[in-house]
Amino acid sequence: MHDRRRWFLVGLAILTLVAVTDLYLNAKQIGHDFFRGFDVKDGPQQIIR
Amino acid sequence: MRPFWQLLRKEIRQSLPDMGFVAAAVLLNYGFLLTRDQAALQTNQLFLFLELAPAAFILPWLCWRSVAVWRRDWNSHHAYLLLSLPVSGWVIAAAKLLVITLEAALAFILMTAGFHASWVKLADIHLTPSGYGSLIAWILGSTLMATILLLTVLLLLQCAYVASRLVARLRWLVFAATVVTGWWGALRLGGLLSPLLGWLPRLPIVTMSLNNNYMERQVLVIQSAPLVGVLLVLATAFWLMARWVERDLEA
Repeated sequence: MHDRRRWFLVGLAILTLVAVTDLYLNAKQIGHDFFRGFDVKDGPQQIIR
Repeated sequence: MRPFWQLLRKEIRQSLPDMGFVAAAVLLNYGFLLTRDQAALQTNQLFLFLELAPAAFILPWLCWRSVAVWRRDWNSHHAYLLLSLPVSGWVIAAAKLLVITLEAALAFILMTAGFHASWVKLADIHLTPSGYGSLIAWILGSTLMATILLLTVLLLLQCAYVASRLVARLRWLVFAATVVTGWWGALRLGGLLSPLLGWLPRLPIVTMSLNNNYMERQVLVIQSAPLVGVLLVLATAFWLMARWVERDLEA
């Protein structure tokens, strides 16, 4: 069990390092890629009375 | 399924005071606004602040509560009992997640209903019965949407708290690292999967805008591919959380 925890912590540390570096270097691009994927289009519009 | 419902009932019972506090605060806020006359609502800036104040309060409150439903078991030494129950980890994790979902849904429905009711009065909008029907449908729909969206944040926070209980020291660091990694993974995976999953059906999203003397309903159609990336990360977070509860967590 302690081995599993150690591996979890090592994995988390590596992933966090990658995530923080990627967010620091490419924050704008990451947001752009994610939100561009939604490809929002206007549908019907109606005034409520 | 019986242990799940029993656990859920216990969680709801424990969360009732907090749910009651939020419901009373929101109802008092909008109740106060609804009893003011229209001229006062239009001239006093404080009323505009009160219209929006519950949203600013409820979001951080729900984030805190998603962690607190786990934390209270460790603080009150009930964790021994919880972890010794002959139930799967996913049952415990699902009960904790569902209780915070119910708290979020209750807070959102009261907040959206209160906001729209007071805005209809403030802007002096006169609606026909079918207009009221559209407004109620929008309130229910937006509550469902807001709850699902917030659930992505709340689930990651719960997963991060359970992860932080795996270590004896620097728990806050493990908590923060799990949240950052989870969100980064969701955004990256969502962005990467979008070009591959363009064939998935598009989703209609209804938005409602309130203008000075009328309300407008607008349908936006969005591609669902980025949501698949988010869902994959959330499913992984839930699976990890259930596994840690079942195999690795100590009281």
